[in-house]
Amino acid sequence: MHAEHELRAILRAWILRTNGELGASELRDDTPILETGIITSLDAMELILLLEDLRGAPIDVQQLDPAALRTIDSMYRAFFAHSGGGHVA
Amino acid sequence: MRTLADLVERLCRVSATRPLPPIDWPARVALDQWFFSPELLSLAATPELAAMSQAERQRLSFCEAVNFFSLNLHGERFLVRGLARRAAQPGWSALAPYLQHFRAEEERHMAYFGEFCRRYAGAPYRDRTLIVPRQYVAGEEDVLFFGRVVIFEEIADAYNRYMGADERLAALVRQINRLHHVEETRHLAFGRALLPALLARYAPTWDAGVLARVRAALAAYVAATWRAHYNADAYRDAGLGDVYRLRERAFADVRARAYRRVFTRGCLRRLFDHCILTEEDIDACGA
Repeated sequence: MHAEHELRAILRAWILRTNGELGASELRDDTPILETGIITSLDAMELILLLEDLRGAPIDVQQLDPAALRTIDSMYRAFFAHSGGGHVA
Repeated sequence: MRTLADLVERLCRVSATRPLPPIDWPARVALDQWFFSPELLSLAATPELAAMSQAERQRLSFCEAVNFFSLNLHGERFLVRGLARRAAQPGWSALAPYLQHFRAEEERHMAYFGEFCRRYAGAPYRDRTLIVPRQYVAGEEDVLFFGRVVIFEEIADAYNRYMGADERLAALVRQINRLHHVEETRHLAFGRALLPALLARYAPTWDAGVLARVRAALAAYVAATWRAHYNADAYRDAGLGDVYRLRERAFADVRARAYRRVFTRGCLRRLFDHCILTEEDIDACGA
């Protein structure tokens, strides 16, 4: 189980590691990551796998609203906030 | 020297006279046999595979065959959409006749791969590909599209050739791999001629930043293509646990990376020779 701050930290670390050039101070939880090219569409497949692992449930990409992946805030709201208190079983 | 137009005319003639043979689908397949060459399994270098019984490895080989066929299915769906769009555009009118054959043949291949996955696994594995719209400079989208097609098809064809000749494998998967290889020779010939022609036309118009962006994108696609061979869903179906961590470990394994490097250099050698891919870009992507 991950608390909200842990989930956000994991996503932040993944984005910074995947991008490889972005400084930590340049990534806020409301920073768009796809439309700015911080993360590419090829990276998005790996991001979806990470999200599936963290939430313990598959994500149907065919039904996915791309806006859900826009920022760390939107990812938390779309995939974890409904679990109650930010904890993911 | 044969021109692209000469090649396209020849490929159209061959495609028009080369029907795809039907497959005699058995009612079921026994899982106590090989469906994927053991040395090509994505977990080949891992202690997890070493600890598995032969029956468990054969079960994994079935799941990896389903994944490989699923990747072909999803890749060809992307290809078919791109070919259809271009065949309808005025700038592609000279190549449109062959693009139509190419598209029709890929749709038939999709039927093979989809049929195997549905009959024996219930469904193909999920496609997690996400297309994010972006802006391109002139020619960039076409180079990236056909670059991805060539990369995908060259790697898949190398696997098709290997497994089509591997007599340890179930006859049905050998047949599918062999048929796909025979069919793909025309598509590969087309892509190998078209991609350098597109680059010769557009690369001189690009600045250094665009050229670097295109090379990086193609190298990233090589890495993504390899990563897709490591499927957590397949590992779960094969009875393995902690599948996401297993996938990461298997992909990062130095022996696996060395194997992929040699394989990539071999089957994508034309792209290296034309300086479309570089070793540095491939290394940077961790492929």
